[in-house]
Amino acid sequence: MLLILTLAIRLAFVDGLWFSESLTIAADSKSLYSFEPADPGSEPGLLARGKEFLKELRTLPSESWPVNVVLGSLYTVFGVSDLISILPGLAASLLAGFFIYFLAAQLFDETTGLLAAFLWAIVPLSVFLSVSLLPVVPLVAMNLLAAALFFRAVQTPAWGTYLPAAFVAAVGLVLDWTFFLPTAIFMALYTIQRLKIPKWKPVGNGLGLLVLATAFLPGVGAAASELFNLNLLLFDNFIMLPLLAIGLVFVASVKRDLPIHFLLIWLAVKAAFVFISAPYILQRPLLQTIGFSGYWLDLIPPVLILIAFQFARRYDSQQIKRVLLGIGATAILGSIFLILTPSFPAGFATISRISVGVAFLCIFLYLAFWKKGRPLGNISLLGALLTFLLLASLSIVNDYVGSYVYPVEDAREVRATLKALDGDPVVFVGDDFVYERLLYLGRYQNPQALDESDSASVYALNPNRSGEVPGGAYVVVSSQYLGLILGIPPANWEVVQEFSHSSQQTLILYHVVVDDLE
Amino acid sequence: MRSKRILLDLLTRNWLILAIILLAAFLRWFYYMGVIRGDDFSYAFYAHEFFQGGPEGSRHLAGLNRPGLYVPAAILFRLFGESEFVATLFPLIASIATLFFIYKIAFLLSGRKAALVGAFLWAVFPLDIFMATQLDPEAPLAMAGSGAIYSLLLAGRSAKLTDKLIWYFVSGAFLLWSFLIKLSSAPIVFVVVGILVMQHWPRILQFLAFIRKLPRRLLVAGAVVILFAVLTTSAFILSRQPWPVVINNLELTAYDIAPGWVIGRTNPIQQTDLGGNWAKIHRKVFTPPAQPETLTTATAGGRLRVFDVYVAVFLVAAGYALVQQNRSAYIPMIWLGILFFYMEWGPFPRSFGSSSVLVYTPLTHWIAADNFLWISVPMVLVIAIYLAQGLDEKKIAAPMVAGVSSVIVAALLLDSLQTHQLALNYLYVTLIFTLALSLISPFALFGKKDIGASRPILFAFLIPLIGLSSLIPSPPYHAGDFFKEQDRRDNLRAASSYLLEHPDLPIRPVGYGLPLDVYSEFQFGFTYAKGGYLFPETRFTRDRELVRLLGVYFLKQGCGQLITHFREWPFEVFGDPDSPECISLIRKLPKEKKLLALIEAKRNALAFLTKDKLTSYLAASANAKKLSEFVNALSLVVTYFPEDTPISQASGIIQTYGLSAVGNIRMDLISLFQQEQGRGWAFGAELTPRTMEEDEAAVLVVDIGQKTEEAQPIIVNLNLKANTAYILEVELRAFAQYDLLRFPDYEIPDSYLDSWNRDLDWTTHNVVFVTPDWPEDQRDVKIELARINDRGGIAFRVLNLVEVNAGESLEVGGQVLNVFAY
Repeated sequence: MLLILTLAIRLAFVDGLWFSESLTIAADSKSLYSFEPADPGSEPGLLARGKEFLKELRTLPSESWPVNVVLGSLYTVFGVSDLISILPGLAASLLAGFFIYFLAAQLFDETTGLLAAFLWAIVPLSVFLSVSLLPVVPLVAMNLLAAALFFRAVQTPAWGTYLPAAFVAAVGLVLDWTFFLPTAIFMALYTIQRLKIPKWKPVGNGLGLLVLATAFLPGVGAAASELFNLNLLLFDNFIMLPLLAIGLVFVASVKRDLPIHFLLIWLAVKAAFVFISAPYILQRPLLQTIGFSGYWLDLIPPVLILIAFQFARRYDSQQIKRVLLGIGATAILGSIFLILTPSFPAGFATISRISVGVAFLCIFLYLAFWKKGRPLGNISLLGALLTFLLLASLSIVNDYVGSYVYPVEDAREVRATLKALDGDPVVFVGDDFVYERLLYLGRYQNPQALDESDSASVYALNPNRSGEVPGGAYVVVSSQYLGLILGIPPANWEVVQEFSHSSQQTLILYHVVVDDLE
Repeated sequence: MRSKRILLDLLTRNWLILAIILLAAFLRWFYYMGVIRGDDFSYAFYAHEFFQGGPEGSRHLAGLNRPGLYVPAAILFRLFGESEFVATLFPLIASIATLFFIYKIAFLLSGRKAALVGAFLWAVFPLDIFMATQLDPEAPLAMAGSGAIYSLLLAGRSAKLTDKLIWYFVSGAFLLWSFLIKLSSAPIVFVVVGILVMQHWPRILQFLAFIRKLPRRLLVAGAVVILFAVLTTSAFILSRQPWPVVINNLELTAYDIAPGWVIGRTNPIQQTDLGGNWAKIHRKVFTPPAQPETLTTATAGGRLRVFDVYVAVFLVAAGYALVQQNRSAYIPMIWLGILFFYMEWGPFPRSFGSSSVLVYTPLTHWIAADNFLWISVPMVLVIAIYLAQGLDEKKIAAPMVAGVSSVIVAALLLDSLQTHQLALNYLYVTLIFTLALSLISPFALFGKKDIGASRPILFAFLIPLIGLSSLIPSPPYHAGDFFKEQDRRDNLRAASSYLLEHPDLPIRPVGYGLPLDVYSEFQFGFTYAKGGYLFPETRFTRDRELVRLLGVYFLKQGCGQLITHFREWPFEVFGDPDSPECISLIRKLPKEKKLLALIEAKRNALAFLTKDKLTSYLAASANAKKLSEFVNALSLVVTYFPEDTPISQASGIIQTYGLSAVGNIRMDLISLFQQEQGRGWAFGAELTPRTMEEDEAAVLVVDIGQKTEEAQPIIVNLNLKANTAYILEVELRAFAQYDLLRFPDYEIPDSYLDSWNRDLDWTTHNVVFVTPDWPEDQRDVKIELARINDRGGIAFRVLNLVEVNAGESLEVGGQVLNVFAY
């Protein structure tokens, strides 16, 4: 049921590709399986095609390889659509949810696993990134898989059980070492610690101090603070931070055993790595738009398990299952309703927005009024907290989506307008981002077609030869492109329509008038 | 001898708290703000007027309903004299008093360790350091609130009834004082009620048990009465504002205060975002304005970073107190909880009993995060009680001394230009370490063997780390962010001194009346009363007749901007002319005095040829409205001090009064280019000039052959007269980047700033320059009309050089300037 909930909530927010990085990944994935042999005389056959495929793949950023490979094959089989485009993220998110459940259940018990999976299902950043075509969520899922396999290995004496975890971590390091190095370090440290090597403790402490000393290198402090500053701005932290604090306090209050040690060291290594390597992370291309939030999302699974553990220890397993069943079933039905509606109904938007504050209040009420021996009161506190957390998450994701959706809607309107024109118009697009978006919306049917019916041919506009656009053609440019690159449009371009859903950008559709002198 | 011994004993026993108080005083002195922001000028003025029965005619002045703030300031004025420092003495004393109350409350609740830690945290608390030297309600409000709670706690713990009553009375007095400082602090009453309920809980239980024993009829009747009262009140409220307004306004909560405090999202909702219908019934659901990078961008301005350290530690401390059921932290938590959720939800029914009871008022009405100082006292107490649990009683001095000394050293290093960046980087390191140590600190508290052994060390480290992290400048709540206001204060002080040294003319109190009076220590006699200025009893006047007879001084912000009328030309400037905070002093004289002043100024200028004298000549000619004298003065400045020529300002005057002069000679350079077929012109290597017709007018088009990063000049040789003002009239369109007018062979300043621009639509520029006072009448001068680069080109539709000849056209009132004979 929790997996269905995870899926349903995410599907309620599917609304196209919001980021230019996503369009690039979509275009790369589409072209991955439609390559031509580099040399006309090269040997045909599966092996040769395989070689070409790998050659093509290696030109793409390594962190996107899993997405490119999966998405490319999906595009080949099912064609290009928004639903197919977000499938890798969605599937990875479900897998991550399962891994969180599996790991938490292995570490503690099934109740903790269920609660942690529930929290993963509703964490705003997880929902938002799961429905964005970005490499982040698959990498997070892989990281979780490595951690889960590693914990299984730790529990058995056989060294061979470490191999699967080591393999996943090694593959991860190849894909994106900034994401997987903390996992690898954690595995190494944890293994060494358990080996009980004589005099390891002082050496370990010394190494730890050495790592901490790197924070004093020039610029590291400022970079770490900047990263912290960026991360803290994510609105969902507003409710995540108090939960993290109470989770830590609770875990500190119980007797520490192997699972708790495992969880805390995992979290500590991840957090330390993120901040100590901040100068490098800030330089990562992945960080350009929202990539940095991927690092934050990667920190979240252990935090969720920590929070879930805290709830699970305070309640009876049956009580929690009943609460989750009630909230989950209602949320699934609600999400199905949201999938069917284009945007939040007004009343629901109001209620979910109010819930952001109520959820914050509930965290403290839960802490203040939870008392042993009052099952009904306690379960009401938990139920209220989880319900309002869910509603608050929906509101936060809705606002996140609302901030990115306008360029998509502008481009959709331009496309609809062009398709409605008589004849087969020729369209020149003067903005890479808009051009890529129009090609994506046209499902890459033909790189120069606006849609599958070939009703319009689309070309990229050369800004240095804008005067040579033939009469009768249409031109689409964004306001930024006009101001920064194109300059003054030729006199024979007439504005047909302007498209703008926000004050940030306007798309202008011109019609090129046939010059009388010609 | 005995008193000395007592004093020595007191110092020896309390040296730690004294060191913390000294640290607090040092930091507040080091980051001194003063009366510079806005409302504080009014409060200082009310304090000045208080003992004089004023302020007159000012019933509805903002802030006048806050006597709790300005009356103590007035008393301090009376005691120590009226100055800016004394004006800020009350908030400073209040800040230190808050530190004292925190110390005492923490002592009562959790003992000496918590008291010392609490005092230290308040000493370094960045928002209090910022507010402590501003005459604003925040610091005094924190003091009155904490005073009320401290007295209440003392009352609760007093055994004798007399003591109890006295402390309740003191608590009530502090409460009343807090209302008189800021009426919206009223919800602190709920805190008092909450604490009273907690203190008297056993008696309340007894009372409830007593009620239960009452006859049922009485109970039912009582319940019905209460229910009726609740329903009537609800009906009253709902009849004014039906429930959709409640919901519509509630939806805005949690987007204001709480995210600001917890994650530093600043002011997400502006009242303008709500639109005109924000209080209407059945309006659409409010959607916050879209932010293209809402994940990473603060919705308005920068992120509020002033609580970064404290919120993280507080969350851990509060979690620990609740999990451990640490009752000593309950009172500050109740205190904080009530005020915090009042700030979060309270603005929604912002005024009890008013007809607008259900109108939600967003954070904009709380103006800024200054208001958080109010709730920071209990936050600091919760943190102090938590940290104290990890510290060793006997070794408490070490972390305190480390904290005090490291903060002082870091503040000094941060202030030095040489070490600022380095110090800042390490302060960021301390921030990250503080956060990390705070998060792991519960493990040390709970731990017994492993981490528990290092508990005192970990907590001891946290004290200086929090202190150091608090020094990180957190705009805009840091004295360093107010350099503009500090500049303005320095400039106004200089203007004030000048005006005091020149008491000949009255001052018009427009714009800077109140600040000027505050900085002159109220020597000019500011008032809000209509017709309240009687020169020479006060220096200010609004009497037009008096101004016409005597003349007047007045001040204006800015010095370097375009001046279009003679009456706006400054007589003196105070501060850096390029700074927006520079102050211009304008002098207006009666007609006959103007000419006499001009004669004298010109005589002095020609005799000495110093910059000051030439500037005075320029000002006097502007004051006398004589353009030819003005150009003459300007020409002399160009000749002797070309770099100091105020050509940008003067260009407005030359255009206003010179462009329409009858004797002007206008040379059409595009026609000249066509006639001479480009002879006498020179173009950069990549430029190709041509003329074309557009709308029956000639257009000079200059294209760039290929994209270039080198500046490509357009040069013409012309004959210019000495000591003459010229205006280059240009109408152009350019995709290439362009810059206008230079003189390769002469140092002649012009009014077009050296900068690269790009204009896609036809744009008009009038560029003014004045030739030096050359010995000969005229010279051949090479003029670089424009320089362009990049790609595309430039097109001129108008390119005229106007020689301003003001001689005949600028007789003012029958006075011609040539009457002066030297």
